[in-house]
Amino acid sequence: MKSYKALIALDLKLALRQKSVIFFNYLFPLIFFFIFGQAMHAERGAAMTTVISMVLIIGILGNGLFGAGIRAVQEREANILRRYKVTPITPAPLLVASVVTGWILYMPNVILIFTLAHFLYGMPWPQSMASVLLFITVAVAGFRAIGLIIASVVNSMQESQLVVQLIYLPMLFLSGATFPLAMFPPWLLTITQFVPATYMVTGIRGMLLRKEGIGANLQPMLALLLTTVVGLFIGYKLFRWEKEEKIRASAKLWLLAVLTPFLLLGGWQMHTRSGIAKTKVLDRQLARGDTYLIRGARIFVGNGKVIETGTVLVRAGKIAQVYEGAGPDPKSVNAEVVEAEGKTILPGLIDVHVHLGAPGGFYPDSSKSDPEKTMLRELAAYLYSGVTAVRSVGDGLDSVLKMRSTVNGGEVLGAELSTCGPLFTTPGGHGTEYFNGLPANVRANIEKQFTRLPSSADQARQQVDEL
Amino acid sequence: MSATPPAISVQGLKKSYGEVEAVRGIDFEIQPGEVFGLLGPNGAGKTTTVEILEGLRPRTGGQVAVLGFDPDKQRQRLKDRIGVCLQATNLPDKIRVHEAMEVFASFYTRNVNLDQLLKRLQLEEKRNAFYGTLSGGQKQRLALALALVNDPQLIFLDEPTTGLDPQVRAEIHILLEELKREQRTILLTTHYIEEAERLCDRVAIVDSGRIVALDTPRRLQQQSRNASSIVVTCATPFPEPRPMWAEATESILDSTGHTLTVHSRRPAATLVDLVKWIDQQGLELTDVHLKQPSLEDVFIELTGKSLRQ
Repeated sequence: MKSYKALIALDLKLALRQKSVIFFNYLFPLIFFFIFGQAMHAERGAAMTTVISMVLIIGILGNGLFGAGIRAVQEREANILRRYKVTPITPAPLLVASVVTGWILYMPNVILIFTLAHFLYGMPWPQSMASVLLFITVAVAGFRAIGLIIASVVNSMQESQLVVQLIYLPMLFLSGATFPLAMFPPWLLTITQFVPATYMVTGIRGMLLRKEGIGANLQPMLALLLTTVVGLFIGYKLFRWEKEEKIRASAKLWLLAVLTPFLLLGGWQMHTRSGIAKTKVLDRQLARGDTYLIRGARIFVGNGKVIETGTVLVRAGKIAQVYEGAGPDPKSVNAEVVEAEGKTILPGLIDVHVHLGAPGGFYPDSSKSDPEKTMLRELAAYLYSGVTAVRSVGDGLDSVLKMRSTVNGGEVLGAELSTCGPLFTTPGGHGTEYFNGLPANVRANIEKQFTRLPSSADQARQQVDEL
Repeated sequence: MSATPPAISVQGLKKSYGEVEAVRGIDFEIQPGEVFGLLGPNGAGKTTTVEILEGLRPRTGGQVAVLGFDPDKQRQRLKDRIGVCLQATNLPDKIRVHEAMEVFASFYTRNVNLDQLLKRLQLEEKRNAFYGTLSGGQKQRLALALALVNDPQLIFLDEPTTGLDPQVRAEIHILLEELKREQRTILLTTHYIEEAERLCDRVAIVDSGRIVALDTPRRLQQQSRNASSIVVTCATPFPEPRPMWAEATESILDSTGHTLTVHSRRPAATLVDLVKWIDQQGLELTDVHLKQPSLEDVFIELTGKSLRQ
């Protein structure tokens, strides 16, 4: 234990004495923070989430890959590890000290960036700062471990630079930290689900935008923890004290072993696609999270009153205020201005009686109709025409519930959907007549989707409860 | 030799790297308090041998006990008890001298007083200096200090003065002699014959993975096939023919005819006879000196190689 403490204390002192460490851990992220904070108008709200997650990812990647990886190779190349080799210590305290030191160095920077975001750009504190810090802790440890495993499979400084860049750049560009994933084609989106950094981006954004805690990010947390453990274990097994000890080229495959948790997670995501859905939701939430001031329009307030020339302030996707006339100075409310003279603003319309399952025409071959596709198209069409919410009063139960979560969750753009569920009626009553012509095997299934036929008040209650 | 068990005992030690046999059966014992030198040309197997003893490399065959431990099986416990000073090691440039001492001390179960150790190695003024700012000699003294933080009774020194200038080398030699007086056991590898002659109680000469000679430096010199020789120079050329003087084996005249080298089994007896003959011939003797074979000569004779290549 003595040696662990002594090595951590030493690593910290050495790091603080090195200008490059301070620069890359503190100054560099801060420069990005301010440049992108200004350029993306972080004061308007949503962009701060983008800036923060970008700055954090750049910092964590740098801390892990350069701070742990390259430095470990340097120590070996400079014959420093060779001196440790003749002492009774194993590689364990050296590896653990590297991870712990990286974490201690990095965490103050996280606090600093959140504090600046809060006080300079008005970003609200995350719902659970403890969750954010815990998540970042696991991420830092995971990436330190990836850095250390790179160090243990490369044979020279040049090689380590190459491998680090090969990992660093894709992580930066494919994680959504820099380019929004919304612009990616589906095949590339699938690839992003294999990239560990993607989960850091969606994790951090989820915690900031959707008030998520650790619970919503258990899978990536587990994968990062596993990466840390596997990385340290393999780093221990492959540890080399001297630059003269070379490792065979095939050993580089161990790098894949460390990334296995994310290969599994990516494979799982290909199946469930929940990660991609979350990414899309977050991107949409980011897009509508900004602050807008829509000026000069004719406004139907919704209570019968009409403002001939008025202004609406929209903040984080909600109407914050309606003004008569030009409204406040946009700078004072940190808003982007949308000039809307000659246009009319009215509250979203609500259609309380729709059937999304009806395709609006006849298919020559009904097996080619896919209600889930037409439902999405219809919901988008409603929204485009000013209907912001609809109520389905008779559609296939399973599809309508699926559409409800897809659209209301934000994965796909469309009118907000609510549903009455299946039709409660009597045998032979209204609603049952549509199915009379169907073959018996299809009919049973369809009836279950569309109707309930209770025979008593108690059974009706029970059927409602089941829904 | 003595009742106490040897500090190091090596029997039939072998080490192969694939097809290459680096060590082909080495035997020796080092007694407690002894300073033992391993001499050999590059690639002779001395570093491999030492690294096996230090627990850094597994052996291929043979019996080895270091302080009673098997270096292959009790690696950690052995390393805890020995001190090692390797060549070509480094510390981070931005580590302070006292920090290096503290961190290395934390690796061992037993520690000496670090301040006293620094004082002893004349590093107390440098205790807050960065490693990167130390001179070569100071770095080497620090390396020695680090090898002593656990108060080891057995110390391995791998070429402790290679690359240092003569004055610094002399300083290090004084320190090593002090360690020797403290009855610490030292295994030393070196390229410098004088270092071995000065410090070592016994020397083993290693070549091609085997020990080709093992004895005290003095007796090794005496074992040399090349007997001692007497070199005499006269004002006028030596006359022909010359007799064979007592105990002499061979005499060689140089090209000027003025200087004669006489090899001898017993130079003292030969010298008396030779000087008497010169006097009888009426030659004027201008110079005479006695040449004994150095360890270097012995080394070249045994290995066919120069020690420093």
